[in-house]
Amino acid sequence: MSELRFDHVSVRYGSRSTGLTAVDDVSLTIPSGSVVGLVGESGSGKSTLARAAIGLAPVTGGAITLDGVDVAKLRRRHPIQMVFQDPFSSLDPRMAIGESIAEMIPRGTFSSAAAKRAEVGRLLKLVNLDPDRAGSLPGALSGGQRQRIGLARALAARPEVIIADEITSALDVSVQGSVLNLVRNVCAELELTMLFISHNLSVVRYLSDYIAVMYLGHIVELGPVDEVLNNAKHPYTRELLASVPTRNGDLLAVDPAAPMDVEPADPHHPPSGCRFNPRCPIGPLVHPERQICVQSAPQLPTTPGHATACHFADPTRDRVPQPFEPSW
Amino acid sequence: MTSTMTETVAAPTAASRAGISPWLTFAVRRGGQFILSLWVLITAAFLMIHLVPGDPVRAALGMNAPAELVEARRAALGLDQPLIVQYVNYFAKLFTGNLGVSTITNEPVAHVIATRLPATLQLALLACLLVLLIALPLGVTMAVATRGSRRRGLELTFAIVCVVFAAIPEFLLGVGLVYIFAVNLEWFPIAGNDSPLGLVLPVIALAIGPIAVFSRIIRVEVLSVLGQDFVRTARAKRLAPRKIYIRHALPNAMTATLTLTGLLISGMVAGTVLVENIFAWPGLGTMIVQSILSKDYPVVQSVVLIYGIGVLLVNLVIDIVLALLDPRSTIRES
Amino acid sequence: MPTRLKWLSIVRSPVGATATVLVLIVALLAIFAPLLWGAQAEAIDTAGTQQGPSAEHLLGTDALGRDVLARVLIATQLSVALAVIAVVIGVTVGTLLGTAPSVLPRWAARLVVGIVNIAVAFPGLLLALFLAAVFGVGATGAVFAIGLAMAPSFARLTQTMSAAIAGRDFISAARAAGVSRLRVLIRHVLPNIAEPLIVNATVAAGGALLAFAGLSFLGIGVQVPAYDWGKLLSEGLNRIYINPAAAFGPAVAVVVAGLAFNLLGETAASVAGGRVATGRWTLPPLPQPATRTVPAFPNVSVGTILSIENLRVSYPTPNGLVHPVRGVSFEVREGEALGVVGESGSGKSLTALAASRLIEPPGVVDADRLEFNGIQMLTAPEKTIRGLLGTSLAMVFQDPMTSFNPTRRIGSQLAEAAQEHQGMSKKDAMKRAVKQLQAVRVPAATRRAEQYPHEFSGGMRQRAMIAMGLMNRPKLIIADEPTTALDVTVQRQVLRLLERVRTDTNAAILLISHDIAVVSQSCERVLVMYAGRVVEDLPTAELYTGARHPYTRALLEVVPDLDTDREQPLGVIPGRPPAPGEVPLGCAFAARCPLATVQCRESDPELETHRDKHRVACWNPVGGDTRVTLPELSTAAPRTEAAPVATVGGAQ
Repeated sequence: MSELRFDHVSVRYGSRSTGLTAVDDVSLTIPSGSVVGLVGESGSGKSTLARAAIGLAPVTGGAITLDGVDVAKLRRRHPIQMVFQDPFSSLDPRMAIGESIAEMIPRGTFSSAAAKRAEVGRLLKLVNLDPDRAGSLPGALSGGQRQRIGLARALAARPEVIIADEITSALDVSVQGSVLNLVRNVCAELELTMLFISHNLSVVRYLSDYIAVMYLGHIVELGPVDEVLNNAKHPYTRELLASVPTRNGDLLAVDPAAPMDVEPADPHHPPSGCRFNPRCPIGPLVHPERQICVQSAPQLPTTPGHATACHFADPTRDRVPQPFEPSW
Repeated sequence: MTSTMTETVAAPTAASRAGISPWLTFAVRRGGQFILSLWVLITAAFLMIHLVPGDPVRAALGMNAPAELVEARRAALGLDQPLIVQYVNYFAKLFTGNLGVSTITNEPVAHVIATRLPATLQLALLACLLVLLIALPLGVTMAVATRGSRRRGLELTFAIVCVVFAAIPEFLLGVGLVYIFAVNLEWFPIAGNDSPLGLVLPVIALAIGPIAVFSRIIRVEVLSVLGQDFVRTARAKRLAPRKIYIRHALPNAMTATLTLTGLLISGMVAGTVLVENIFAWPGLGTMIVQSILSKDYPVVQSVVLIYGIGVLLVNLVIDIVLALLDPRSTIRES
Repeated sequence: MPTRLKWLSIVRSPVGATATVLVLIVALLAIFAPLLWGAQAEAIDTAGTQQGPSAEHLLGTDALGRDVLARVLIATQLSVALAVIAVVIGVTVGTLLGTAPSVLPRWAARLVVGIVNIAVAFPGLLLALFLAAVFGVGATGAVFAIGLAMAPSFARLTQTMSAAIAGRDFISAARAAGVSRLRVLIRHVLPNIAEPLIVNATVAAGGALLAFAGLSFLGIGVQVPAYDWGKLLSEGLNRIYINPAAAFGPAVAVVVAGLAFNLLGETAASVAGGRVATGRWTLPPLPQPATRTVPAFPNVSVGTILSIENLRVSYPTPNGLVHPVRGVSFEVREGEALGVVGESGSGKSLTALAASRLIEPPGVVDADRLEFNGIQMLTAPEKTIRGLLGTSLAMVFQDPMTSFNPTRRIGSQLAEAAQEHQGMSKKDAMKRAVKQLQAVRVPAATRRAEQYPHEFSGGMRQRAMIAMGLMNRPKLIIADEPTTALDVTVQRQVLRLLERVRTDTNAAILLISHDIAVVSQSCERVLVMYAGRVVEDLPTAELYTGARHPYTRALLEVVPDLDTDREQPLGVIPGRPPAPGEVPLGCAFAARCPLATVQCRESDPELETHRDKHRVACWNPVGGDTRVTLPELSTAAPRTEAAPVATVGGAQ
């Protein structure tokens, strides 16, 4: 068992007056052995949430627990490991890759240096790299290979949970597949729990069992991946889906209801009520009577299954065709 | 990518919506830093006299001075009081412009400094002006002429000439100039500031090293600005090359140049000490060396303080100009 | 570059070699001079004091008749030793102060940083004078004074560099695995900053040498009977009228030794920064295309705005010329939306820059034809080109943050385009700028025109960039990855804006992107580029059904979509594209292509018209409904990346 729970977690940076709440009261459970995909635009707080889980961002409210134990109290073990976005900054350029991996092996796991070397070799093999390359410096490797080293390094710590933060966004599409296939196979084989963060919905869909959509520090929609993508209820999720460039979509199509030319929200001063309301195609901009969206923030239901934090997510009530300033 | 986006989206409106002008925040922060630095400087100057191993008064008056004289001088300097009282008194005196008296000549230090400071300032300011007037156009011209690996021979020559001149210390240069132009050619006076001609050699001795260092740095700065995206945008607008350099490249290279000017002036302070000694220039530089040799601590203390305040003021002014020039710097840091 | 090779290249450059030899000579003198000339330097000759240069005493003698040359040579030891000790003190104290903030608690760290910031603004020599006053005059005082005076700048350097290292992900990874701060500092931070620290220490040694000379010259450095170069210098200067050589000797010694350290450090710095000139390279003349007169498109058809034929972009490298763009030909018609897609290194951006005449030396652009709006851009006078491109060509770049001048207001940056080319007054141009900002739907355009770029969000900045292009009357808009730095929702807005501009103004659009889906959704025609060439050119309507180049097929195959089968592994194109300097003889894709034959490896296929509006460069183009099956990387067995295991269903 290794269930990662975020329980009303907030992460706040800076002072009271000028600070920024990057993650605001987020609750999210990653069931043992499953993959939760986290999507959202830049500044939505998805990376901050991940960094909070491994102690790289300050948890200012709530708790992050692994099987009921606060992760901050797990001093000896480091059961949550992360694979980073940038393959060029995530490996020490002056340290041989084998050494980088060995550094993560928990102390006392292996008594002899030879056993440690063998473990490094095994990990390199696991990520489809030649164990003989343990002595190479990262500079000699391609971006895709570096990301695989990043995974091997995370695995060296014997983790129960892997957090993958935009691991393919710096790679060319032709190698992206090899990294994603590898991550998927390794996690299935080792029965790891994973939080997979990406801005690319297609990639998230491919890898995840569940999907969580973040907007300005809140989770706005959450549920099994097919449920959320085929039957998106939150207007933001819908906008996101409509914006994904796909072979069958139509990016240039015009959604007459969506307010197009609004300024992006300022995370330092989020809008009151529902944070999406200034952009929302079914909110007070289009339906002036829906003042509740400005007055109170919708809560994400705690019921299992597909949940949406929206006052008007009921599918029978949205998509009211309304004359709106014609967009192009 | 993710982090830069957050930053660029978030940065602009943060301070403005908090109701405080970013300028005010900047002024408070920078002013605070100035006062703090000043305090550290004054404290260091105050402590100097106490850091000297043994008794500074005894050291200054010599081993053979009568004990009564030493005691009297100690009392006159207030050295017999508790440290904290001395510290408070030191501050109190500073604010009234009282810098104490020289242990050697008994002259008020403030008076000595007042007579000597203008000579040093004259030298330093003229040299700074000369450096900027020559190094700035030279650096920009070299950058434009050698960008994109053009004229590699010129680039190499320029680099070598600059490194060589930067490695010749001011005092050697000064001596060389004296030997050639004053002793042999007799074009300029050997020393002193009796005639305007007397300024020529010391100013040149002071300026040549910084010109070499500066023009090289400015060249690199301008080159890096010329390689930036917005210069490509300006070129994509098909502006005349002159406008690209003057409107787009120069203001951005200026920020780095101004930061360097701070260093230049700091370096100039050191330079004046040496050059003044070569040309027997009646400034602070000759005085501080004499005072160190004669262990006239109140004078050393005050001269160091004056130099330090000068440097702090220059840096303050430069930061303010920088903020006016580059609106990002005020907001980024607040 | 391997470390050893890197350091060797210092010695290879002429300046570096000279510096190394000089430093070696100084070091040898410092060790052996006292043994060789010790007696000579101390031999007092009361009969021959203060002599000028002679065969016996090359630099003459001093006030006690001692040989000045011998004394200069012997003084090397003390001068260098003092400088080295001072540097060691400075670097040690500086590094301690500089790294302390990363292990100390936060308040203490801030205190240290604050103190260093104040100390660093303080002139070094003044600090040295202050400390000399405290320590008393003499060599010991001077060493501490100069060493400690150096410390703040080394502390600042260490701080800046370790802060840069600390922000990188491998530090986060180590911290997440519970590696202690001290261990992170020792194992990760220090090794990564050691190189620049050593380089700076070398330069500082040169500086220290001069500083000691300065102090001794002022009489507050080394005291008699000891002597260093500074001391000898000030003795010599007293007698400069009698015997200039006595001053000249130590002066040359100081300058040469200081210069040697400086130059060595400088060369090392440029090697460490990867910008050493290892030997000079000159541009060999580009082979002129033999048949300039017979272009493949004999006449540019009416309605063509941009016509490019056999475009090449070359850059000199130490290993000779490389050609990141190797013979690209295409046309853009009025009002057309043409997409160019390719992976990083495919040459797509360079093609766009070359087409807009924005390649700067040392890059060289060469083409059989580069014609924009009927003007030959490789031969027409510069002024004509500037006027033409200024009014009829607009560029939109990838990063809207860096593409605006940070020190000028958005409005004036827009206005200057119209002022330059339409002779508009500043006032009219500003009015037009506001109008264009409104046209691209920047809210509150009048107010925003007065703002600086950093006050705009990414999407709004990109709109302003498009508005800037619209200040004149563009016939072609070249957009180089205009949405790569933006969120998908903003990307859609920007793409729609470009589309609206196209329909409103009939300007053609050349959209460069790495995302084939973006191109397929927003363009009518797509060029697929690989290793500096166009491999396929086809209407986007046929992209998913009729692409014939195996690379195009593979590209479409590997991109996961919202309906990708999740039970199947994702497709992978094995291997990686060739670097510009290593393009093979035949088809550049052959090494990764499942269909490659001997012919493919031996000769490069031409881009040939396959059907109306469909060109492909392939010896074995894929048939209409063929599916290229790509291998997947299985986790079971490691496989070399160069050997694709691929099958082609239903090809032959």
